[in-house]
Amino acid sequence: MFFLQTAFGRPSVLILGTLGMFFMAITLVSVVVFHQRRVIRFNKQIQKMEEERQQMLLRASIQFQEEERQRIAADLHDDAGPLLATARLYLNENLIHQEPAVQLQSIFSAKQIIDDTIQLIRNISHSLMPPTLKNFGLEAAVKDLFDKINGSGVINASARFHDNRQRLSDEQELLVFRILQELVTNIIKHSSAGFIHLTQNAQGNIVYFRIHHDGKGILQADFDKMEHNSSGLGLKNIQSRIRVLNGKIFFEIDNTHTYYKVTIEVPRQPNK
Amino acid sequence: MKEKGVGFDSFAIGIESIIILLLCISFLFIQIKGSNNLFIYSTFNFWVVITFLIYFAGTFFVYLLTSSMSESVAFQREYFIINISFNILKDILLCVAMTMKSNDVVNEQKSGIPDLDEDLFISKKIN
Repeated sequence: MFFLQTAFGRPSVLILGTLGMFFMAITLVSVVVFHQRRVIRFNKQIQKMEEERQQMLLRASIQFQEEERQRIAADLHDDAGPLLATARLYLNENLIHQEPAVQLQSIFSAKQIIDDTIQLIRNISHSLMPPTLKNFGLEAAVKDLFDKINGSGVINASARFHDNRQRLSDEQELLVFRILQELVTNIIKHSSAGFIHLTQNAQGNIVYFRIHHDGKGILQADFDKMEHNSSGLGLKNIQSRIRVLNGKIFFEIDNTHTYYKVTIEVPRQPNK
Repeated sequence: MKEKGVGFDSFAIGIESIIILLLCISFLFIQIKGSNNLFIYSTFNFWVVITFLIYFAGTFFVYLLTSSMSESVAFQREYFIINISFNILKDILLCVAMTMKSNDVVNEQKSGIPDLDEDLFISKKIN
């Protein structure tokens, strides 16, 4: 009772000081606990977002694979299948008609059809893995791609490799080629550009690729936004390939606002 | 006149309290800065530190004034009540800390990998 009287009736320095120190200690502990809880909640939220992002990229990659398989299946079923069936018909004809002239004609037709089928299968195989890339490397493959684009006459495409003495590993070259292919396809489809120019250079252990074009391009902010929100797979695939390469990609516009630039940085990895 | 070494040295205890309080605050500050995803109040260290923090914060003024006001009867009563209260609080908080420690031990035992070479040992023993 005396304690309470002293505390509430005639407050002493001792009681006030003790209570003040006690509440300060409690406040300090509370601040630490609540701050830490908030930080942990924030970290968990970021982790969740990162997981969702990874899931999205994985889904996009799987979806892309499925679409690719469907395309190949459709090519084989719709083009190669009928061609081979027709060739079989012509050869069957030979069993029925014994006249040499008719036989010769049908063998010739069957040969034509089989040649077409071989060409078709070659095209499918080339679209899966460009033979130039496999045999001669990225520079040749890119120049080949750009020659084909030039051949259409709609757009002027050129490429220059400044320092390609030390090549990227085969896996990296394939990934870079796919990224460049996707970027060039996007430029042709969406930007209405008149020219595309690719420049390659190397500095230390990093290889740089830059595509210039004079069409309607996108900037880094647009890329980040579209990569998350867009239903298309192209940009997501570019981002996932860049991640596999441990590289970076930048979408910019030059100071005169005339050309858009896409720069890719790829650190070299030893060839396995 | 007081003999040397006899009585209560408020100055030394005041310095000691301040050092311990500063150490406790620095521990909490390090915990805030660290990006550990474990809740701080689920650790043994945290409870031990807040025990020290609260006990030394609460008894700081009592010990500081003891040598100068020990003759006052009113002060003696206040000293007794404050000291007893914070001692009880300290013991409770230390009990909580020990509970945390025993939980840690239980969790460690639960999460341990079972001995997968046990069968091998048995077969060796049989042979």
